[in-house]
Amino acid sequence: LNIPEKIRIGGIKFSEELIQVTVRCEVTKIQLVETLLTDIAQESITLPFYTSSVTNGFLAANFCANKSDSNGLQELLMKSSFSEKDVTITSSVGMCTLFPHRNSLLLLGRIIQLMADYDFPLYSFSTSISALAVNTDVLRLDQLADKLQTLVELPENHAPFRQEFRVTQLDQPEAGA
Amino acid sequence: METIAVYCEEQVKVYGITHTFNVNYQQLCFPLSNLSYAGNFLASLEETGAVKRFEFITCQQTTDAVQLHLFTRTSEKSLSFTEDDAPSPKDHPFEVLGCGQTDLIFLHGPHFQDRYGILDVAVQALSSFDLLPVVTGCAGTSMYLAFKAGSGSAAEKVLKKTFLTPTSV
Repeated sequence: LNIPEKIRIGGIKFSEELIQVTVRCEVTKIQLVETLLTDIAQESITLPFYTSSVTNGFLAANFCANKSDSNGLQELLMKSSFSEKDVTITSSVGMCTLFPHRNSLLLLGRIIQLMADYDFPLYSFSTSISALAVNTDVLRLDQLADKLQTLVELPENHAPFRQEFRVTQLDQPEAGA
Repeated sequence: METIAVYCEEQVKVYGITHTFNVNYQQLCFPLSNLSYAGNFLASLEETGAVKRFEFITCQQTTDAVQLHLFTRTSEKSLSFTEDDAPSPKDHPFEVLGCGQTDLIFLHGPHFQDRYGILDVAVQALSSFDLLPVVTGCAGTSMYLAFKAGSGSAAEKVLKKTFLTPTSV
C-alpha cells in the first residue's frame, strides 16, 4: 500500500468572514486603483489580503476586507470612476492560512489539486514570507481544514483555527485623549 | 474584554526591506476546469526536481480562468514554459501570458494585515516616481512587490525612504 507521507506544517488559521473585491482598468488609468487605495485607507478599512498584476496593458487588483467593512467599501466603489463591469464583489469569503509553506511547489500543488477535487472555490491566494493564504468559501473552512489534514500533519495541541481575539487599529487619538 | 495600546509613529516602521533581483517570472493562465491537473503538475515540478523552491507565488481567478504568477530563482534554469526555451516541462497545462526577469522587493511587518493604509503608503510613494509593480502580493505581515528587471534598485530606495527600517533607526 503506497500511502504518501504527510507534510508537517506549523499550523492552520482561519480569518473572519471577508468580502473579496476585484477591480480592473487599463494600466494608463492606474490612478483609479491608487485613488481607491487612498480612499480605503482614509476610511480606516484594513485590507488583510491584496494582489495585483499587469497583463497585456490591463491591471487587475484583488483585495479582501472584513465583512463589517463591506458597506463602506461598496460606497467607495460606487463613488469611484470604475465602471460596473470592471468591479466584481464576492461575498462569504474566508481565508485559510497555512504555515510554513517551505517555498514548496509540492505542498502548494497538492493543496490546489485537493481544492479542485473537492470543489472548493479558489478565489485567490498569495504567499507571504512563510505562509500561504488561500481565499475560499467561508462556510467551508472547517471542511477544508479536515481535507487538508489528509495532506499535512499539524503539531499536537494545535491552537484553535479561529483566532479568539481581534486586532483593530483605531484612528489616531486626539491630543490629550 | 478589550485591551487598547496607544502607539504613535510619524513614519511607518517595518521589520525589514529586502530584495532578490533578477528573479524568473512566469505569468501562467489555465482554464478553471484544469485546476486539479494544474495543481498536480505544479507538485510534479518539485517531485521531478525541475524546480526546488519558489520565491513567491500569487493567484487570481477570472470568470473561467486562473492566473498564476510564479517567481523562482534564476538558478532554476529548467523551469520555463515557453517553447523557445529548452528544456521545458512536457505537457504543461499553461498558457504563458508573460515571462522574464523581475526584481522582487519584500517588506515585512509588523501586523500589515491588521493595519489600514500600509499598502497605500507604499503605492503612493512609488507612484510619485512612476514606479509601477508588475505584481503585488500582500498577505499576513508581508508585502511583495515585483518590478521589471532594472527598476528594483530605484523602487527599493524609495521604499527605504518611505518606511523606517531597523537599519535606519
